[in-house]
Amino acid sequence: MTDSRILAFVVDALVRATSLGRPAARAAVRSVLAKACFEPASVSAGQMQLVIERLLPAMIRKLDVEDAEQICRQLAVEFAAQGLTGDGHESPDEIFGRMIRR
Amino acid sequence: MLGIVGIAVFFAVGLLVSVRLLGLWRHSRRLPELLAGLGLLGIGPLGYCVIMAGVTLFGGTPLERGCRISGMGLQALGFVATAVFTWQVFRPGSRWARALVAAISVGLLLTLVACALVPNRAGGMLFHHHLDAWFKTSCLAWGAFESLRYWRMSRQRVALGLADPLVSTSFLAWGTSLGSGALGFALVWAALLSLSPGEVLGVGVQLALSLCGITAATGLYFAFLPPKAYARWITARASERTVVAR
Repeated sequence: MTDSRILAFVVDALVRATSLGRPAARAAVRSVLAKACFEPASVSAGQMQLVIERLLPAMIRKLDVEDAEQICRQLAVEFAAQGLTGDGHESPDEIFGRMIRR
Repeated sequence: MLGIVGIAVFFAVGLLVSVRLLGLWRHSRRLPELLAGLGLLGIGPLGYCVIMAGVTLFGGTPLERGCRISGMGLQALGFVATAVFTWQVFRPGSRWARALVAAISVGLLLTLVACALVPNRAGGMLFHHHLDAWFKTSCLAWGAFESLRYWRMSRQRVALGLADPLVSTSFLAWGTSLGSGALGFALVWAALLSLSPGEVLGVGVQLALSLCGITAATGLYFAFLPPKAYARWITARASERTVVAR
Protein backbone atom coordinates (compact mmCIF):
# COMPACT_ATOMS: atom_id res chain seq x y z
CA MET A 1 0.00 0.00 0.00
CA THR A 2 1.39 3.41 -0.94
CA ASP A 3 1.77 5.89 1.91
CA SER A 4 0.13 9.29 1.64
CA ARG A 5 2.50 12.24 1.07
CA ILE A 6 1.91 13.32 4.64
CA LEU A 7 2.80 9.94 6.12
CA ALA A 8 5.78 9.53 3.78
CA PHE A 9 7.19 12.93 4.78
CA VAL A 10 6.99 12.17 8.50
CA VAL A 11 8.54 8.70 8.09
CA ASP A 12 11.41 10.14 5.99
CA ALA A 13 12.05 12.91 8.51
CA LEU A 14 12.03 10.42 11.38
CA VAL A 15 14.51 8.13 9.60
CA ARG A 16 16.83 11.10 9.01
CA ALA A 17 16.57 12.40 12.58
CA THR A 18 16.85 9.11 14.50
CA SER A 19 18.59 5.78 14.37
CA LEU A 20 15.32 4.07 13.44
CA GLY A 21 15.16 2.14 10.18
CA ARG A 22 12.38 2.87 7.71
CA PRO A 23 10.15 -0.09 8.71
CA ALA A 24 10.39 0.83 12.41
CA ALA A 25 9.76 4.53 11.76
CA ARG A 26 6.80 3.71 9.54
CA ALA A 27 5.37 1.31 12.11
CA ALA A 28 5.78 3.91 14.85
CA VAL A 29 3.92 6.60 12.91
CA ARG A 30 1.19 4.21 11.82
CA SER A 31 0.83 3.02 15.40
CA VAL A 32 0.25 6.52 16.81
CA LEU A 33 -2.20 7.25 13.99
CA ALA A 34 -4.11 4.07 14.85
CA LYS A 35 -4.10 4.99 18.53
CA ALA A 36 -5.81 8.26 17.64
CA CYS A 37 -8.16 6.51 15.17
CA PHE A 38 -6.75 8.36 12.14
CA GLU A 39 -6.47 6.53 8.84
CA PRO A 40 -2.95 6.80 7.34
CA ALA A 41 -4.35 7.28 3.83
CA SER A 42 -6.62 10.18 4.70
CA VAL A 43 -5.02 11.89 7.70
CA SER A 44 -4.99 15.66 7.23
CA ALA A 45 -1.97 17.89 7.79
CA GLY A 46 -3.58 19.47 10.85
CA GLN A 47 -4.28 16.06 12.36
CA MET A 48 -0.73 14.85 11.66
CA GLN A 49 0.68 18.02 13.22
CA LEU A 50 -1.19 17.22 16.45
CA VAL A 51 -0.02 13.62 16.37
CA ILE A 52 3.62 14.69 15.94
CA GLU A 53 3.39 17.14 18.81
CA ARG A 54 1.32 15.11 21.27
CA LEU A 55 1.74 11.37 20.62
CA LEU A 56 4.89 10.72 18.62
CA PRO A 57 7.42 11.71 21.35
CA ALA A 58 6.12 9.04 23.73
CA MET A 59 6.09 6.43 21.00
CA ILE A 60 9.67 6.94 19.80
CA ARG A 61 10.92 7.23 23.38
CA LYS A 62 9.65 3.67 23.85
CA LEU A 63 11.87 2.69 20.91
CA ASP A 64 14.91 3.99 22.81
CA VAL A 65 15.26 7.16 20.76
CA GLU A 66 17.12 9.74 22.83
CA ASP A 67 15.87 13.30 23.05
CA ALA A 68 12.50 12.28 21.57
CA GLU A 69 10.81 15.56 22.57
CA GLN A 70 13.42 17.72 20.85
CA ILE A 71 13.34 15.57 17.69
CA CYS A 72 9.54 15.77 17.50
CA ARG A 73 9.55 19.52 18.14
CA GLN A 74 11.95 19.95 15.23
CA LEU A 75 9.92 17.56 13.10
CA ALA A 76 6.73 19.53 13.86
CA VAL A 77 8.43 22.75 12.70
CA GLU A 78 9.68 21.11 9.50
CA PHE A 79 6.29 19.55 8.85
CA ALA A 80 4.45 22.84 9.29
CA ALA A 81 6.92 24.57 6.97
CA GLN A 82 6.17 22.07 4.19
CA GLY A 83 2.56 23.29 3.94
CA LEU A 84 1.40 19.81 2.96
CA THR A 85 -2.27 19.18 2.38
CA GLY A 86 -4.11 15.87 2.75
CA ASP A 87 -6.52 14.43 0.21
CA GLY A 88 -8.17 17.84 -0.22
CA HIS A 89 -11.25 16.98 1.84
CA GLU A 90 -12.18 18.78 5.03
CA SER A 91 -12.38 16.51 8.07
CA PRO A 92 -15.78 15.99 9.75
CA ASP A 93 -14.33 17.83 12.79
CA GLU A 94 -13.59 20.92 10.68
CA ILE A 95 -17.06 20.85 9.11
CA PHE A 96 -19.02 20.35 12.33
CA GLY A 97 -16.73 22.77 14.14
CA ARG A 98 -17.83 25.46 11.69
CA MET A 99 -21.51 24.57 11.96
CA ILE A 100 -21.81 24.64 15.77
CA ARG A 101 -22.96 27.85 17.45
CA ARG A 102 -20.28 28.94 19.96
CA MET B 1 -52.90 13.86 17.75
CA LEU B 2 -50.30 12.60 20.27
CA GLY B 3 -47.85 11.84 17.47
CA ILE B 4 -48.16 15.38 16.17
CA VAL B 5 -46.70 16.90 19.36
CA GLY B 6 -43.25 15.36 18.92
CA ILE B 7 -43.25 15.94 15.17
CA ALA B 8 -44.23 19.60 15.69
CA VAL B 9 -41.31 20.02 18.12
CA PHE B 10 -39.01 18.47 15.53
CA PHE B 11 -40.32 20.81 12.82
CA ALA B 12 -39.84 23.89 15.02
CA VAL B 13 -36.25 22.97 15.95
CA GLY B 14 -35.57 21.79 12.37
CA LEU B 15 -36.72 25.16 11.03
CA LEU B 16 -34.55 27.05 13.52
CA VAL B 17 -31.45 24.98 12.79
CA SER B 18 -31.93 24.92 9.01
CA VAL B 19 -32.38 28.71 8.84
CA ARG B 20 -29.19 29.12 10.86
CA LEU B 21 -27.24 26.68 8.66
CA LEU B 22 -28.45 28.37 5.48
CA GLY B 23 -27.44 31.70 7.03
CA LEU B 24 -23.95 30.26 7.65
CA TRP B 25 -23.85 29.05 4.05
CA ARG B 26 -24.56 32.59 2.79
CA HIS B 27 -21.24 33.64 4.32
CA SER B 28 -19.10 30.51 3.96
CA ARG B 29 -20.48 29.22 0.61
CA ARG B 30 -19.45 25.72 1.77
CA LEU B 31 -21.44 22.73 0.55
CA PRO B 32 -22.00 20.96 3.93
CA GLU B 33 -23.87 23.94 5.43
CA LEU B 34 -26.10 24.15 2.36
CA LEU B 35 -26.77 20.40 2.27
CA ALA B 36 -27.58 20.10 5.98
CA GLY B 37 -29.79 23.22 5.86
CA LEU B 38 -31.72 22.07 2.78
CA GLY B 39 -31.95 18.53 4.13
CA LEU B 40 -33.54 19.60 7.40
CA LEU B 41 -35.83 22.11 5.71
CA GLY B 42 -37.01 19.64 3.05
CA ILE B 43 -37.50 16.60 5.28
CA GLY B 44 -39.14 18.58 8.06
CA PRO B 45 -41.05 21.83 7.92
CA LEU B 46 -41.15 22.64 4.21
CA GLY B 47 -42.20 19.26 2.80
CA TYR B 48 -44.86 18.59 5.43
CA CYS B 49 -46.20 22.14 5.35
CA VAL B 50 -46.92 21.86 1.62
CA ILE B 51 -48.59 18.45 2.10
CA MET B 52 -50.64 19.70 5.07
CA ALA B 53 -51.58 22.90 3.21
CA GLY B 54 -53.07 20.71 0.48
CA VAL B 55 -55.08 18.67 2.99
CA THR B 56 -56.37 21.61 5.02
CA LEU B 57 -56.84 24.28 2.32
CA PHE B 58 -57.65 22.26 -0.80
CA GLY B 59 -59.08 19.00 0.62
CA GLY B 60 -61.02 17.04 -1.99
CA THR B 61 -59.87 19.19 -4.94
CA PRO B 62 -57.19 18.33 -7.58
CA LEU B 63 -54.94 20.87 -5.84
CA GLU B 64 -54.70 18.58 -2.82
CA ARG B 65 -52.99 15.92 -4.94
CA GLY B 66 -50.71 18.57 -6.47
CA CYS B 67 -49.70 19.75 -3.01
CA ARG B 68 -49.07 16.18 -1.87
CA ILE B 69 -46.80 15.42 -4.81
CA SER B 70 -44.98 18.79 -4.46
CA GLY B 71 -44.53 18.22 -0.71
CA MET B 72 -43.19 14.72 -1.33
CA GLY B 73 -40.85 16.15 -3.96
CA LEU B 74 -39.50 18.69 -1.46
CA GLN B 75 -39.07 15.93 1.11
CA ALA B 76 -37.25 13.78 -1.44
CA LEU B 77 -34.88 16.69 -2.15
CA GLY B 78 -34.30 16.97 1.60
CA PHE B 79 -33.44 13.28 1.84
CA VAL B 80 -31.09 13.47 -1.16
CA ALA B 81 -29.37 16.52 0.39
CA THR B 82 -28.96 14.58 3.66
CA ALA B 83 -27.50 11.57 1.84
CA VAL B 84 -25.04 13.79 -0.06
CA PHE B 85 -24.13 15.46 3.27
CA THR B 86 -23.34 12.05 4.82
CA TRP B 87 -21.23 11.10 1.80
CA GLN B 88 -19.34 14.38 1.58
CA VAL B 89 -18.68 14.72 5.32
CA PHE B 90 -17.97 11.13 6.40
CA ARG B 91 -16.99 9.25 3.20
CA PRO B 92 -15.79 11.88 0.71
CA GLY B 93 -13.53 9.61 -1.32
CA SER B 94 -15.66 6.50 -1.23
CA ARG B 95 -17.11 4.98 -4.40
CA TRP B 96 -19.63 2.80 -2.59
CA ALA B 97 -20.94 5.83 -0.70
CA ARG B 98 -21.38 7.68 -4.00
CA ALA B 99 -23.23 4.64 -5.40
CA LEU B 100 -25.46 4.54 -2.31
CA VAL B 101 -26.34 8.23 -2.72
CA ALA B 102 -27.15 7.58 -6.39
CA ALA B 103 -29.35 4.61 -5.44
CA ILE B 104 -31.24 6.61 -2.81
CA SER B 105 -31.73 9.52 -5.24
CA VAL B 106 -32.96 7.35 -8.12
CA GLY B 107 -35.15 5.32 -5.76
CA LEU B 108 -36.83 8.41 -4.31
CA LEU B 109 -37.34 9.87 -7.79
CA LEU B 110 -38.99 6.65 -8.98
CA THR B 111 -41.29 6.48 -5.97
CA LEU B 112 -42.24 10.12 -6.53
CA VAL B 113 -43.11 9.41 -10.17
CA ALA B 114 -45.09 6.33 -9.09
CA CYS B 115 -46.97 8.39 -6.48
CA ALA B 116 -47.84 10.95 -9.16
CA LEU B 117 -48.99 8.38 -11.73
CA VAL B 118 -50.55 5.55 -9.70
CA PRO B 119 -53.82 6.47 -7.94
CA ASN B 120 -54.00 5.66 -4.22
CA ARG B 121 -55.98 2.61 -3.21
CA ALA B 122 -58.18 3.09 -0.14
CA GLY B 123 -56.90 1.19 2.89
CA GLY B 124 -53.77 -0.34 1.47
CA MET B 125 -50.11 0.35 0.82
CA LEU B 126 -48.85 0.06 -2.73
CA PHE B 127 -45.35 -1.09 -3.75
CA HIS B 128 -44.02 2.46 -4.09
CA HIS B 129 -45.18 3.34 -0.56
CA HIS B 130 -42.95 0.54 0.74
CA LEU B 131 -40.03 1.68 -1.42
CA ASP B 132 -40.53 5.26 -0.25
CA ALA B 133 -40.38 4.20 3.42
CA TRP B 134 -37.33 1.97 2.88
CA PHE B 135 -35.31 4.59 1.00
CA LYS B 136 -36.09 7.31 3.54
CA THR B 137 -35.33 5.05 6.50
CA SER B 138 -32.09 3.86 4.88
CA CYS B 139 -30.97 7.42 4.16
CA LEU B 140 -31.40 8.48 7.81
CA ALA B 141 -30.07 5.22 9.26
CA TRP B 142 -26.91 5.47 7.15
CA GLY B 143 -26.31 9.06 8.30
CA ALA B 144 -26.85 7.98 11.91
CA PHE B 145 -24.45 5.04 11.56
CA GLU B 146 -21.67 7.17 10.02
CA SER B 147 -22.02 9.94 12.58
CA LEU B 148 -22.06 7.56 15.55
CA ARG B 149 -19.10 5.61 14.10
CA TYR B 150 -17.17 8.86 13.78
CA TRP B 151 -18.20 9.90 17.31
CA ARG B 152 -16.62 6.67 18.67
CA MET B 153 -13.29 7.52 17.00
CA SER B 154 -13.47 11.15 17.95
CA ARG B 155 -14.16 10.28 21.60
CA GLN B 156 -10.83 8.45 21.63
CA ARG B 157 -9.13 11.59 20.23
CA VAL B 158 -10.77 13.77 22.87
CA ALA B 159 -9.30 11.50 25.55
CA LEU B 160 -5.87 12.08 24.00
CA GLY B 161 -6.41 15.83 23.76
CA LEU B 162 -6.50 15.73 19.95
CA ALA B 163 -10.11 16.76 19.31
CA ASP B 164 -12.60 19.36 20.45
CA PRO B 165 -14.99 17.72 22.96
CA LEU B 166 -17.96 19.86 21.92
CA VAL B 167 -17.50 18.93 18.26
CA SER B 168 -17.16 15.29 19.27
CA THR B 169 -20.47 15.29 21.17
CA SER B 170 -22.15 17.01 18.22
CA PHE B 171 -21.50 13.80 16.21
CA LEU B 172 -23.31 11.86 18.94
CA ALA B 173 -26.20 14.34 18.91
CA TRP B 174 -26.49 14.41 15.09
CA GLY B 175 -26.32 10.60 14.92
CA THR B 176 -28.99 10.28 17.62
CA SER B 177 -31.20 12.75 15.78
CA LEU B 178 -30.94 10.91 12.45
CA GLY B 179 -31.34 7.55 14.19
CA SER B 180 -34.56 8.70 15.85
CA GLY B 181 -35.83 9.93 12.50
CA ALA B 182 -35.04 6.55 10.92
CA LEU B 183 -36.78 4.76 13.77
CA GLY B 184 -39.83 7.03 13.37
CA PHE B 185 -40.11 6.28 9.63
CA ALA B 186 -39.65 2.53 10.20
CA LEU B 187 -42.24 2.63 12.98
CA VAL B 188 -44.87 4.34 10.83
CA TRP B 189 -44.22 1.91 7.99
CA ALA B 190 -44.55 -1.13 10.28
CA ALA B 191 -47.66 0.31 11.93
CA LEU B 192 -49.33 1.09 8.59
CA LEU B 193 -48.65 -2.47 7.44
CA SER B 194 -50.68 -3.85 10.31
CA LEU B 195 -53.65 -1.47 9.94
CA SER B 196 -56.99 -2.61 8.59
CA PRO B 197 -58.85 -0.33 6.12
CA GLY B 198 -60.23 2.72 7.95
CA GLU B 199 -58.22 2.05 11.12
CA VAL B 200 -56.04 4.81 12.58
CA LEU B 201 -52.65 4.57 14.34
CA GLY B 202 -52.91 3.33 17.94
CA VAL B 203 -52.05 5.48 20.97
CA GLY B 204 -48.89 3.46 21.65
CA VAL B 205 -47.60 4.04 18.12
CA GLN B 206 -48.46 7.74 18.33
CA LEU B 207 -46.60 8.06 21.64
CA ALA B 208 -43.56 6.25 20.24
CA LEU B 209 -43.66 8.50 17.18
CA SER B 210 -43.86 11.57 19.37
CA LEU B 211 -40.89 10.35 21.39
CA CYS B 212 -38.89 9.86 18.17
CA GLY B 213 -39.72 13.45 17.12
CA ILE B 214 -38.70 14.89 20.49
CA THR B 215 -35.46 12.86 20.55
CA ALA B 216 -34.62 13.96 17.00
CA ALA B 217 -35.31 17.60 17.90
CA THR B 218 -33.21 17.40 21.07
CA GLY B 219 -30.33 15.83 19.16
CA LEU B 220 -30.51 18.51 16.49
CA TYR B 221 -30.54 21.29 19.07
CA PHE B 222 -27.54 19.94 20.97
CA ALA B 223 -25.64 19.19 17.75
CA PHE B 224 -25.81 22.69 16.28
CA LEU B 225 -27.14 25.09 18.91
CA PRO B 226 -25.59 23.79 22.15
CA PRO B 227 -26.48 25.94 25.17
CA LYS B 228 -23.49 27.74 26.70
CA ALA B 229 -23.79 25.91 30.06
CA TYR B 230 -23.83 22.55 28.27
CA ALA B 231 -20.77 23.51 26.18
CA ARG B 232 -18.90 24.56 29.33
CA TRP B 233 -19.84 21.30 31.07
CA ILE B 234 -18.70 19.15 28.12
CA THR B 235 -15.38 21.03 27.89
CA ALA B 236 -14.72 20.85 31.64
CA ARG B 237 -15.57 17.14 31.80
CA ALA B 238 -13.28 16.39 28.86
CA SER B 239 -10.32 18.25 30.33
CA GLU B 240 -10.68 16.21 33.54
CA ARG B 241 -10.57 12.99 31.52
CA THR B 242 -7.83 13.88 29.05
CA VAL B 243 -4.98 11.38 29.15
CA VAL B 244 -1.50 12.79 28.69
CA ALA B 245 0.57 10.50 26.44
CA ARG B 246 3.62 9.11 28.21
